[in-house]
Amino acid sequence: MRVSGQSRKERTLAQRVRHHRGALFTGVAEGLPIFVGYFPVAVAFGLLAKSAALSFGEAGLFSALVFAGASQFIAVNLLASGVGIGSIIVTTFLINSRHLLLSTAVAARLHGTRRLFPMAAFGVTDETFAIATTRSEPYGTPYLMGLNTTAWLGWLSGTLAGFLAGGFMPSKLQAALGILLYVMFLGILMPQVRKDLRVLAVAGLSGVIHWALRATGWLPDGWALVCAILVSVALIDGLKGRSRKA
Amino acid sequence: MIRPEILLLVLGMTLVTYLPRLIPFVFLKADRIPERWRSLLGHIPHAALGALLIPGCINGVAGNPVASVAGIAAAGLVLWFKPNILLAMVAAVVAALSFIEG
Repeated sequence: MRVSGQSRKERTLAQRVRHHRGALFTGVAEGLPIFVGYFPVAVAFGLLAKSAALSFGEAGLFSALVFAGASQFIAVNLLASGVGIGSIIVTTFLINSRHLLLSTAVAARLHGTRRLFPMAAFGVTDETFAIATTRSEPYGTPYLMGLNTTAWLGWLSGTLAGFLAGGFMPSKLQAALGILLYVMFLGILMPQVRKDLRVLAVAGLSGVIHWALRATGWLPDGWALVCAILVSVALIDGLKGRSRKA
Repeated sequence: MIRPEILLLVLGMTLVTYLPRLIPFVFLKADRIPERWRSLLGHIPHAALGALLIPGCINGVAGNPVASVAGIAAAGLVLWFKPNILLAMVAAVVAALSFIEG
């Protein structure tokens, strides 16, 4: 009795492990385009860090712990121009507070062990969020960890590679690789647009608002992004509500 | 070598970046979010991608808007027929390279 009970338990455990491993690999596979998109941008960050007289370890520490592209570029720029640590941290907060929005959307569709949530939350970026939240099925923590870790490895390895070997890359190729980040954004968006043209309306509206806000320079860059997202989503939702009533 | 003031800066930046990432995970339960809010949240990624693309993609190749637009257009063409991001990346880099002098 006891033996058969144990083997049943083991079987379900083995099945569970296999299931989680599958989800983890799905996450890794879907993270590969992010790895490729991050790598050259991270190379650029590594180059910048070196030119700002940071050490190899310091550059790696930035990418490993902060793991937020735009704010890292801005921080190193400010550091190089002699701005104090306190104001750099406040600026970072303004730029990265948009993660509240991203994490809310990611967490809304997440199922699984709450114990692992703090680790999964660490890897939320514009890109991992975009991949995860545009999936047709909900996902668990193993999927999210696979996705986030792959993206994180691309960011960290690109930073270190840029610091070490960026000087060897032909500058022409280095310049061209900057386009990859945007190809990744487009690659995530396009299948959604083909499924539902309203996606194009939301994305286009948000882009135009963002462009206008950046052109006026009223808001810091991070806030312009947050503002564009909120206003466009609210406008589209309002239009939808009105057409439903009519 | 890691200088103490840089360590302090990185730890401070990590904290103010991690907290906004963490808070929704701790205080949110997926099945308790009303349907209307879920549909709103579903639109956020599309809006975010649009805002990240416009106007940023003009500077994909720094200081060369023509190469940037050529690269993005090539990628868009590939993606319209085949949802393969890696293939689109190759097309974009080839197209951008042909517009970069030197």
